[in-house]
Amino acid sequence: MSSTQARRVLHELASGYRSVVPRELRLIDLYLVCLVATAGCLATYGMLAGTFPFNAFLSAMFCCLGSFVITVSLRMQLNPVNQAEDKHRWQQLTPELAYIGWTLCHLVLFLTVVNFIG
Amino acid sequence: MDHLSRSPHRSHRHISPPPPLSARTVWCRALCTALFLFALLGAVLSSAPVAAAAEGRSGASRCDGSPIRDGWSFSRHISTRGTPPVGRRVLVIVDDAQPYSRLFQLLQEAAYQLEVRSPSDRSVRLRNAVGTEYLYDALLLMEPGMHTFGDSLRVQDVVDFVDANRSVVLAAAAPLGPLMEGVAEATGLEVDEAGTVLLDYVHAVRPLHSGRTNAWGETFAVRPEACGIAGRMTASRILPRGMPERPVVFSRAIGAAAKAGKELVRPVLCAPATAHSYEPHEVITSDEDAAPFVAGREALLVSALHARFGARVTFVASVDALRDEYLSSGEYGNADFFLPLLTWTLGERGLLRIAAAEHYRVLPDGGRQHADRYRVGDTVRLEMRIEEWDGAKDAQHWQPWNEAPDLQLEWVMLDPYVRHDMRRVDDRGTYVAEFATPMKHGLFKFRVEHFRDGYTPLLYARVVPMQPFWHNEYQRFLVKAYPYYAAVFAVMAAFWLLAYALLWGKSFMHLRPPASERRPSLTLHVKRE
Repeated sequence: MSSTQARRVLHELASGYRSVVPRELRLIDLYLVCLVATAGCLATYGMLAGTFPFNAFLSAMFCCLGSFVITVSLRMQLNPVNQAEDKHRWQQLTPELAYIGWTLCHLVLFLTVVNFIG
Repeated sequence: MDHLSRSPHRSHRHISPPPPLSARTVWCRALCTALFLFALLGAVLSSAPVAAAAEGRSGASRCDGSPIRDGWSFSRHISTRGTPPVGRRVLVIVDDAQPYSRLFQLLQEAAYQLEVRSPSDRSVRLRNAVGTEYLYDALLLMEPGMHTFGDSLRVQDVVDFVDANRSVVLAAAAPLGPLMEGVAEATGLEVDEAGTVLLDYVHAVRPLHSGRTNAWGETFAVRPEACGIAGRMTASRILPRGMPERPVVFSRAIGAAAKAGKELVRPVLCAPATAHSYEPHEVITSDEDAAPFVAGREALLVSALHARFGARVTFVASVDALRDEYLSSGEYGNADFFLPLLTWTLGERGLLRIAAAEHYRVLPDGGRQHADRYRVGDTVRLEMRIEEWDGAKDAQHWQPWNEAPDLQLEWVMLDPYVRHDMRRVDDRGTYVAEFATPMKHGLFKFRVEHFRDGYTPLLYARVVPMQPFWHNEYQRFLVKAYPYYAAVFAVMAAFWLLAYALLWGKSFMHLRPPASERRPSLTLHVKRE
């Protein structure tokens, strides 16, 4: 496969993503990517500098991971694809409720993290 | 691309522009804003006491849950058992004092109160009438053959006397009676059986004293030199002026050797390499059973026992070596050797005591804080003032001991975690060790164990609990942890931006159809079934 082909495939992939996935969900995806990158940076730093303030390391890491999990569940609830008939109950919750749940979960997560980070 | 183009029928391209805000949306926004404000407030409040605690770390031992005791005293930490005796009442047990008059005269000149009694004198007693106190501070046993002395005093009485921190001199000879043999065995020596005597044909000299029949070799002159492992003994307090130049005569000495593993028995003078313990006039055979009990430098002519709490037991293999003929002789160095030995035994030198000791926490500003427990990582200091008894005739007082070259402190929990030398800081005999405790909590012990030849052992042990950090005493805001803090706050900021964008964005509430188009809720759905 030549490079032009690869570029075309990537381009189509990107344009398809842009055309199919709603803007809000793309925003959420961006947030998720940022979280993963942050966690990766933390792990690298921990390996290089040692995990001496281990509580700080843990809380920062769990902050990223926890936020990732919560946000993925928000994305699942907001995603129009998941609104098929006769599905699970969570697929029938309103977006407002999903949003409030997401916010509250983050609030609890951040409180815990700030308490634990030392 | 095909599967992507088969998108669900409700992609955002099909969504109409957002309708005007409904009351529900307004409420939702208000609630979320309130939550953000609440979270912000919580973060500020939770960090405020934390900063205060971090600031008060140095002075804030109230946080560690234990009260600080300022009324801490020395006395609780001083063992009275370790205080050595300093009296000068000496009981001498000898049948005929005449041959030893020179020795007694020398001791009396050194201000010792001698009481010379015969072993058959039944009025002699070691304790007072009710048995609560000892009447003497030292015991000089110079009748080797005796079975008992005084009011039927036996081995156990002498051992009790030693246990009570008192000194004993055993002036032995061949053959040895059961009393002295028992005491010698109780203090870590083994002696040869009756009928044998220590012989040295190479160093034999003609005896100056008349008495029993003397076989050739029974009397010999030793050139005094430090023996074996006790090479440092010469520099010790036992013989402050070192070994005498002139030889020391021994006659009719008993063959004695230290038992294996008796570390407190220190050889002071060993027999020459040519000496052996055997029956006189007998030919040594190659038969193993008839081999000499002890030979060469293993035979102890003079040994000294340091008991742990200050008592001393000196064993002299030959009582004849203390006779006037040898002490007064210009040819032999018996007086130069035995007088310091005896005065050391009677406590003139090398008696040490810990006059005062204290340990405390060293604060970062240099202050000291006494406590009965410390926290891991604390810098602690042990101060110890040591005194030596000056028992010279005209001194008789405790004076500072400033000569310790190698006093060391151990910080022990089963094993020593820290070994630190104690340095002298003033002329009052004060020694100090300061160190940072390891990050290990548990029951630790300050321990000083100073065993040196010629000195009373110094034993000091104090248990101190080491507690871990209280939860709010850990170090905070470390530079090393800044990336972690930054990551957390970056995530928080990103979350805030995302939440804002979703809430105030155009179509977030319209990813799903309006309520009128929606399927029946779960409750209705269940009912329908």
